Amino acid sequence: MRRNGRSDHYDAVIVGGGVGALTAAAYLARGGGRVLLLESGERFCGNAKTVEFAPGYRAPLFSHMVCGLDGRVLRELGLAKAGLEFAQQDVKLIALRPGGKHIVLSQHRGVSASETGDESHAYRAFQKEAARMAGLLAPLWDGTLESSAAAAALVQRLHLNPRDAERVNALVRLSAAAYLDLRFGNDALKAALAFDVFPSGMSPQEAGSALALIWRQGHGGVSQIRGGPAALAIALETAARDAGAELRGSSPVASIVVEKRRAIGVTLENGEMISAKAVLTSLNARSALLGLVLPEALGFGTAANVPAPPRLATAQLMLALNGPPPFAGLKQGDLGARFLIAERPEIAAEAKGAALTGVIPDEFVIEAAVPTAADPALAPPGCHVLSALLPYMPASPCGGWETECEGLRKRAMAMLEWFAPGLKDRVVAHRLSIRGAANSSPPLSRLIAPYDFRLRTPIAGLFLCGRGTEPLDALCGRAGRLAAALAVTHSASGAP
Amino acid sequence: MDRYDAAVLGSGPEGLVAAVVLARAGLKTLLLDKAEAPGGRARSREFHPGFRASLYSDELAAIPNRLYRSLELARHGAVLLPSRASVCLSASGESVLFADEGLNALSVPPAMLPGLTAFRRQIETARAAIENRAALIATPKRRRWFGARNADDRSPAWPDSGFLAASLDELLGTHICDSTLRLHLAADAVSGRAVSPFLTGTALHALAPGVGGSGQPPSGLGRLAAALAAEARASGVTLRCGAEVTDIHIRHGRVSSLVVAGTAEVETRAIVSALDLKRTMLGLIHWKELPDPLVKRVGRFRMAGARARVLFALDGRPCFAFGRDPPGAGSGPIHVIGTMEALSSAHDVWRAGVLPEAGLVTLRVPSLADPRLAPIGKATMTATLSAIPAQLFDGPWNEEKRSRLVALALAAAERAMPGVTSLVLAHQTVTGADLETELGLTGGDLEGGEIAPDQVLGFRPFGEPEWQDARTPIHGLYLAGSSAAGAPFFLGVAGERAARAMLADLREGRLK
Repeated sequence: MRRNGRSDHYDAVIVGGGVGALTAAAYLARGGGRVLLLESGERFCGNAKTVEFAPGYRAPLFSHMVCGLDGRVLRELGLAKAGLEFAQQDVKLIALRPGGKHIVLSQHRGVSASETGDESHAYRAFQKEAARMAGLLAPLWDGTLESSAAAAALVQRLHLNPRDAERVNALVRLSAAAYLDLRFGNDALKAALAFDVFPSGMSPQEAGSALALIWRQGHGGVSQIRGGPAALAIALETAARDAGAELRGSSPVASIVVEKRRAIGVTLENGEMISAKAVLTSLNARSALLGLVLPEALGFGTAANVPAPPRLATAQLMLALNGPPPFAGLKQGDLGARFLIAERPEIAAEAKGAALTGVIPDEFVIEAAVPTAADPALAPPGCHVLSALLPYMPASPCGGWETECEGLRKRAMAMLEWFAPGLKDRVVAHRLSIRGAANSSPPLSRLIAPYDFRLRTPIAGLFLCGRGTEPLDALCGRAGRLAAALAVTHSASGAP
Repeated sequence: MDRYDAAVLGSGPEGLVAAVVLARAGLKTLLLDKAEAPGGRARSREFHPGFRASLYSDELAAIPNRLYRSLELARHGAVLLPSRASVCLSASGESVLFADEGLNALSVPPAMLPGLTAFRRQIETARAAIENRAALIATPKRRRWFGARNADDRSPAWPDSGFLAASLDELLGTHICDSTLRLHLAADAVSGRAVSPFLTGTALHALAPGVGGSGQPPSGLGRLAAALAAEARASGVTLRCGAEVTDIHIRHGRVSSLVVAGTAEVETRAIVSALDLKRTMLGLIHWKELPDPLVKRVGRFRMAGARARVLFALDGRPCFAFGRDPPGAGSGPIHVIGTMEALSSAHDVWRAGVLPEAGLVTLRVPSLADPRLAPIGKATMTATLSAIPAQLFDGPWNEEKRSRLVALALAAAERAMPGVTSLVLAHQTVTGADLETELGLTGGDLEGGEIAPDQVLGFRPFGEPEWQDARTPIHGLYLAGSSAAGAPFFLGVAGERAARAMLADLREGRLK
């Protein structure tokens, strides 16, 4: 096999594009390594896309808002210089309620609503506690804590004092609903806050979802990227190229070469073999291990333990509007907020229950946003785009998505129409997209396992850096940064 | 006014164990129960002339060997034997599992055997850790998040993260690839409860009283209750049945006396309540005596029953439909179940207060193990239905709804024993609402609270220090029932812990 000294030998090869892969490429190249990123498509965006779904109308695919973007990645890679801008930060959350009595939540301005009573104090206390708990768990979530062979309990390795250890211990067992119950009185407010656990795939009634709530609250406000997630991918691409990474598009990878349970390179579909000290991929564990690694190299035992395909998915409805969406009872300047439609607090749990059995729920939760409010360039002048996320959908419904799509779109439209009378008449075009959950491993164990636990695979030298390795299904960039660090350690630890 | 050193409320197994421990320590102990005979949930009764059965449950959690010996249950005639085999009839096929690993080799495909053994070992290890006292305590000194504290710590106090963070489906999936076997183990774990096997934290149910494995008195639970009551009398406990406690009086945050309906007050400084949390704190103590946050906290404790039973008197021994007639099968549980998805949707329907169309039904023919439970040549059959709401969304239980339960049970029974419908002489239904009125279980919840990570072991009922070791924020009141730590996993542990905590407090003068 061709090895050292050849022109096709790299320190790291990255399979797939996307935020995680580009971040890893940029970090590895900055560290002086020889890095090659291989993407099957022409553009290096992975899932971070802004799609033109009607002539002149563009909308962010799924991530219409971002939360928990790693500040260090932004700083260290100089993404602002590479063209990344935020259209707005600290995006408000508005829980829409019939009759226009909406609840408005803002990271900095607290809670305001006509009938929640005086819950501002409780909200401040909740924010403070969430920030504190997130700080305590930062080594776990931001990757400084590695899962080592020593079986020491995590609480001890986080060096918590007994009181904090007590709190963390209680927190990992609580559901978001129970956690909020202890702190707030108003049901509508509780439902609005609990909704934020949806990227974890858990419902607010599920044990451990309190931790997902803390993750969201503790990672600061929600923001909107100018130009949508594609702009983030472009900025990262620029940063990676500037750092010296080699990016190669239209190069589908056929397999990952494994020798003695170590990844030593990849072969392309055109037959070319590229050897590398480490291989990183933004694919999920299932498609990387079952799709790209030969079964005999993987071993039967490992193959049997690869996580099953996810049961849940998220749907997104994009609407092209010829005017602003007529949401009832909104104040001036509130159009840029996230809008939450959840008529009852139990809806999320019920929808998830239905979705798990392959049924499209009758009632569901909607998170809607109007990206054009803060970023008018996404649509023609005076026109708007509305993006509605519908979480807790089945990954493969009993009837198949082709037949179920239309019914779901109609129901979602009806729900939106209820809060924005006259919306129907402004719709010029629409599109419904479905995306499976990034990871099917137990959602709580993603939140309480150290990062490297999720980044490593049973194959030495093969690391994951996609969105499935983040604690929550969100655009973060942390996985790429940490996978790069792991790959460097791996290469230094004596690759043959 | 009567005076006692200690009073125990409720004469279920936990209450009886607590009373025995207190009386043996030399305390003048009074045991009160509103029912006519002691036994609580373990009582057996004649439900049709000549036919007897345990009314509320056919299985109890395993009683630790240590307790079994020290309570001298064998001397009083309670011999415990695990049911030899459990059978599962599911949409994907039928399977038989034996309590004896050696026999499993005959019934389980050889490729599945290592996984099954590994799964059972994992459960046993975790249960051993629970039996080890430490897991029942939630103080940070003793408790660990998960994993052993250091390399040479061989008895992790808390079952590992798999049980905390995983769903039942995932836990089973890591060991067992065969879907029939997976369904069987899931049915063993969740029988009588409403569980969606796909939700985080439901892996804990695998630790809860396994229908298949734990030791049960072959002649019904009544035998165990009778033995415990005999031991209580022998130890000098004053047993007063038909005496309903209506109030616990509190003075300056301490227990001062209790009121028995129709008689005088009983003065006592120390009470072990073997009733559930909500009944004890909200039903017996005037809410004005309790601080407001405590009332709210107790109110939020999640309790909801999902169990209903139908008892059948049969005019003859039913014939089983299993291909092989497995030795001992039939006296053990027979699960009739559809798919994992059906379990999940039954849970969703249960939450909404609706009767599920199909779900898990566990059948038993106890008269096969003990012929005295039925007249000669006849049989007694019980059906335990899972995910049946105690309160229905469309009003109280009536004859029509009860007959739907009977139909559900018979439909399942027909699959396991074709032709059984023609044998039915009489039947009786026991719903969650009946459990609430007859046994006094809040929400008809036999488990004393939902089995969820924040409500089990050291966190049952709550993780705060004042609730540790069966204590409550009220001096002199101890919680021993099914809402106390350890209760859904082991029998007698909660009662013993409450009694020991009281004795320790008395010794150290904290109850003066």
